[in-house]
Amino acid sequence: MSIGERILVFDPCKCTSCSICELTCSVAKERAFNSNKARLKVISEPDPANPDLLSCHMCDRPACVAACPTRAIEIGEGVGMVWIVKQDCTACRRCVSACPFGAINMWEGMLSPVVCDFCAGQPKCVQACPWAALQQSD
Amino acid sequence: MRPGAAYTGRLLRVDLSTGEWAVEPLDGALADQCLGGRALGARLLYDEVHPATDPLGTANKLIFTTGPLVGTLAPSTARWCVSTKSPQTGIYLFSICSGNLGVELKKSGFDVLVVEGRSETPVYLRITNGRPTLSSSAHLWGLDTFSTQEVLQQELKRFGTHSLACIGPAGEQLSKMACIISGRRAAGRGGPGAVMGAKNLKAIAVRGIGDVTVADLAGFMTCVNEARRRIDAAPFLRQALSRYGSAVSVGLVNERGMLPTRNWQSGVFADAQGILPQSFRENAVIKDLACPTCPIGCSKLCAGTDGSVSEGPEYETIYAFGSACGIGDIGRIVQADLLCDQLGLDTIAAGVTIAFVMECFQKGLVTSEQLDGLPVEFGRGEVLPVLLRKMALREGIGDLLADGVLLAQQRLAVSDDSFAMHAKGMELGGYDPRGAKSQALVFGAGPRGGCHHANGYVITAELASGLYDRFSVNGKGGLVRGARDLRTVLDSTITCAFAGIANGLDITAELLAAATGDDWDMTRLVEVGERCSNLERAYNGLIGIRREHDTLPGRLLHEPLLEGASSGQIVEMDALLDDFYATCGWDIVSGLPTEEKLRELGLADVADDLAEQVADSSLRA
Repeated sequence: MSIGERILVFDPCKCTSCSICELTCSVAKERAFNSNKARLKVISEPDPANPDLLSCHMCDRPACVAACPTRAIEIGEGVGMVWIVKQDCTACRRCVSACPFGAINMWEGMLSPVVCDFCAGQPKCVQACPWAALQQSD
Repeated sequence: MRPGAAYTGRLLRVDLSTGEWAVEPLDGALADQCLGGRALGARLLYDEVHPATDPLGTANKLIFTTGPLVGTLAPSTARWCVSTKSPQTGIYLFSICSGNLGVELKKSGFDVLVVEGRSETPVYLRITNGRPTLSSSAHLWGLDTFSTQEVLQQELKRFGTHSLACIGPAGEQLSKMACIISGRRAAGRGGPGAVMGAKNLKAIAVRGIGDVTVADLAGFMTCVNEARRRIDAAPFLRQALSRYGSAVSVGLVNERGMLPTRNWQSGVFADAQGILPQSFRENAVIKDLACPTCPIGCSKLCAGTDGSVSEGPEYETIYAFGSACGIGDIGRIVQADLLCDQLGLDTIAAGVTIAFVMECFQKGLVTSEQLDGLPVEFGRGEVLPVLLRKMALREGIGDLLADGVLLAQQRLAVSDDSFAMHAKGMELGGYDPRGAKSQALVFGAGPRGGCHHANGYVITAELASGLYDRFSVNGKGGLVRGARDLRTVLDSTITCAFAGIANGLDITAELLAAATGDDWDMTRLVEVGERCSNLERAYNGLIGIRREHDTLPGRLLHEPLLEGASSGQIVEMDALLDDFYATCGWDIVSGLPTEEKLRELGLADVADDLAEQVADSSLRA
């Protein structure tokens, strides 16, 4: 898999910017309704005709991993899924800045950032999207 | 009500006169009686804004309410409500808008925001992470709503993305048809934008970081999934409305001879081809959009004349600038819709007012000179943008039209008021009640004047259910009463009325029970709805509204429709009112809620207020 190939495939033509994916993610991961805490984000301003999705691309050579000074970000075997080891993270935010896709989220008051883990292969956002604008790649 | 379970339990009060603010606990009994949104706003308005208050004076308030389902994944609930005394009608007003402003308020820890007083100089209110700040908006004054939001968003970037609501030039000019714009959506009707303008409040910006939480998350999500399933299974929602937006109704209403045309001179629009759903979809729509949390997505991004791109128009705007003005060119309608959003004008009020002037011109009641030399004739779409700008800026003829059709008729010294299409000063929505009699009660006896749905949405029942004879007055009081009580509940949770087609009181009760941890059932919900309508009616009663005010323009009462499928019909208002009042438990003679009804709904204090006022006025008489 090359850099930038998404596991979550996004179709901007089908997306209505309803943000159901974001809230669904926050419920699945944080047990609360709060789109700030989602692991993905739909950007629909300033051009609502062409929304974009910010989410993890599972890069081959992840910039977030390279940027981490404490090696707190690990890469899964086989797929490029990353996860952040909380006890090693110093909350320096370098991974947040390094990710070219804006996929790493760290909101106010957080002790370490979060990133999409694809819900163990069954992403809740994909299931919740009313228009199949989010699909899972093979 | 328990804080943390669908409510934050807190109210933020900001006084623009002093710059002071306070956080107050939300009265739990109030939330239990009124839920949120419209009903809670009505109660707070009743308690805090005296019926004699000048709508544009310092004592009027802007009460922004959220609801228990706002901020959750319950479908189509990212909405907020503003309640105030209307400068346009002089009576009760609520206006509901979609978007994230209410969600951000809840994430900030507030169920309600009350803005009171008046600032000496233009300001905007920013609420970041629960803390309110007032700042000068001198640099925003004069800007249209889109520019205002762009500038503010840039300015506030360092504090994070805020949800915004603001007024345009129309609100600054205190136009009585000025709306509040949030993103590209509007709290449109009754002039709430003028109340903001009178308070020198240009904009509100809210960003919260907290969670919205419910009592039983797993149970709640089960209900959410059921609500989603029902919406997915409703062909009207997921096929018709999703594809065409509310414009889907244009063809049906026109076929029934009820599409108000050339200022309601006819119910059949011969040039409707360009505004029919398929043509609308093919020629105007460039993107399907949805309000947050909505799986339906009836919002349409459209391209108009001059390259304008607008979110909308929806049915009512297509009627107001289209058939009512005799304009079948969808590009012109999109352009007018966009301009109204930018200028901060209510599209229905603006379109109906222009349609009235077009008829005056047709009849020779106004001269070209009075109209600044403009060809204000039916079908002349090019006149819309010119007139709208003049109205928002109060230039020339625009100054006479800027406050709606009632004042336009008076200012133009047109003695015949039978074709100024409003009820209680609010311009009518786009369904001719001569072809569906219950609609006369929605317009004529509704709580905020001539709105097409605040007293319940009845058009589907009348035209498509097969249950009603649309020309008959029989059973229409009950139809409106039922639709009204559903509507007030949805407006209080706050859920979109379209989603309510699939998700009625049963699923709403289940969602609320899981969200709040309280016992909610359909009976208790209907009571909330009924309580809301009786409060609204009582407030208007204290202002002086009686049966004689529950009426419609003479055209609808005395002029039969001459063509189409509703030919020969007029509105039999008295018979309709008798039935409706009786069904509501309201006094047939005065139209006021009876003391028994108010006490039954737990509104004993309201019953006392009303009795005192009635006694006072009979003493004076």
